[in-house]
Amino acid sequence: MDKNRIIISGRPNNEGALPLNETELVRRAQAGDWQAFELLLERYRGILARTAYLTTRDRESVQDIVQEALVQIWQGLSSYRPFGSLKAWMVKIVINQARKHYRRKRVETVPLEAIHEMSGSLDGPEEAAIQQDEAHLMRVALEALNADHREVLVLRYYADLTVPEIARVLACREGTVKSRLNRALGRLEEVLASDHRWPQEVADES
Amino acid sequence: MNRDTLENRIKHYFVQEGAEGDMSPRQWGEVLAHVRRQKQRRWPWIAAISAMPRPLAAMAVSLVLLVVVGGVSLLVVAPWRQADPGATWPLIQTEPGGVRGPAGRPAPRYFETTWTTDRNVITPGEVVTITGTLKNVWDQRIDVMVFPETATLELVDARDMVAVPLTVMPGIPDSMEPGQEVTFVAHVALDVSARLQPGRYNVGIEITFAHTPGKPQDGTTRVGQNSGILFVVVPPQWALDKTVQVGEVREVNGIAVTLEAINFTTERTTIVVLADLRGYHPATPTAPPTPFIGATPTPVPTATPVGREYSANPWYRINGGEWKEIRSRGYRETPEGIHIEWTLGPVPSDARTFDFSISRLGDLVFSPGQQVIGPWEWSVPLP
Repeated sequence: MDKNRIIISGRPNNEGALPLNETELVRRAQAGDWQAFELLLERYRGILARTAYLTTRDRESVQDIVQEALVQIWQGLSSYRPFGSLKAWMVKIVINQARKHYRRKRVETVPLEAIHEMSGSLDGPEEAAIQQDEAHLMRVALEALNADHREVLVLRYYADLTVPEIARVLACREGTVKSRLNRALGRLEEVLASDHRWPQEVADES
Repeated sequence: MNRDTLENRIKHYFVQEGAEGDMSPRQWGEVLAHVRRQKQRRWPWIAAISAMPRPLAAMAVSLVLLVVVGGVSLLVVAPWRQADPGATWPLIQTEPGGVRGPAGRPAPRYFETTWTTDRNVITPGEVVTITGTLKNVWDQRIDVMVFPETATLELVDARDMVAVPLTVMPGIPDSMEPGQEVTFVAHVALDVSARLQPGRYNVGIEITFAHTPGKPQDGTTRVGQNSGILFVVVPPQWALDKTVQVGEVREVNGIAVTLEAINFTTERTTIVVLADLRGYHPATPTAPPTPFIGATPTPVPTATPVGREYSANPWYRINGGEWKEIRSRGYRETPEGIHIEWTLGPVPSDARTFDFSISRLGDLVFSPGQQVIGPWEWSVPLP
């Protein structure tokens, strides 16, 4: 019957090519079509790996997190229903895996008061150049946030999910998402505005 | 600080920094290989349950538990029951040709459905028209959608499911008010390329619904599935329609099994055998105790051990092709032994041979060691 399944629900078109339509790919993957599943994953490969990295900041664990997430995605695909986006559903699974990971590894956040010590503790021309780097300051500032706040920022500003989608991903109310976003942004503003090296057009607007 | 500017900075940072998390093609390949291995390792029955919608999976698991608990209870109680040769046949079969509802048990808290099909015997290439009603019997509005846009066909005798596209979608609105009832028509195209194997099918359409504001999905209901409404796909060559009296005995490991007859019709094929179990010894703690293949048998006084539950693994093939397992069966106990009857789909009228095999026979238990290994095998020429 497997053969029948492929023919019936994964019927190739005349050219034998797989369709690019996501709904069709999902349908085929749900029917057990591995090629369609790979094609779907290829579309979200970047966002899944980067979300895992940005939420954990652990380069070494990205592969493990994505790997376990993909196993769950494959196993759960049959019950996936297209209410909400596929991206949000996949990101949710990655986030859950990432949470497991940082629960295990107890990724520490950096106290606010330590931020300036960290960014100011670097000496020498090379380090000075780094200190000028906006990305470095942003990284340091983000590290001052707790995991919940970092997560919500990644989902909103990297994965580009809407507030209702984030609420589904994090299994919380939309109001909670909004308040977390607000607090996370406020915390970032606080850190960045207090740093004289933050580009003036940002700091001056506070 | 201007929020827009800050947000743009964050986005910019995430795009740049996120690239650090990219996996190399080698890593990505390793990940895919791992997932694929996991997929292959999964047991087929777990995969089958996972493939079901959650309510159906829950039902399936409950059913399995019920069967296990019930089976164990029967094994304990059965030895004290008396055989009743005149008892009715506990055949596991559902009459085909059902074309009317009310259809089954799809989440009665939310919906009531009726369901009809315009025919019950079809050949590949034909279209089945499904007409039904869906009524919101809950006290609030329910958002509904048909997904996936397929009809699910369950091959009853093999307990397998396939999905075929709906060529005409049911005209079901996006949401239904309390008490609202809609009539819908859907077409299921059994085109030739679908290569549905002949057999008796149960047809259903899955409807996903939501009734909680802000919640993406509350559940699914399968309209028509498990409703007992069947249709039969017959081979393009049409089906063999005759009864072949065989009456051939095969004896393996002390158990004689007679293939009595095979009845071929356009709707089904029925195979009847008689198993003489005088050489068979119960595996459960009754008298006599557990001897099996290789052990010294203790004779059982009657042809049929009393009040037992049996299992057998039957297979068939047509024209020397691939062996296929048969699942649907029933049996009755008689003084001569147990009569077992299996049903499967129709056989093409141009079939030349029909091979039938029972690979093992014994108690309805889960350990293969407690069954007698065959095979008992017949090859029946079809004139």
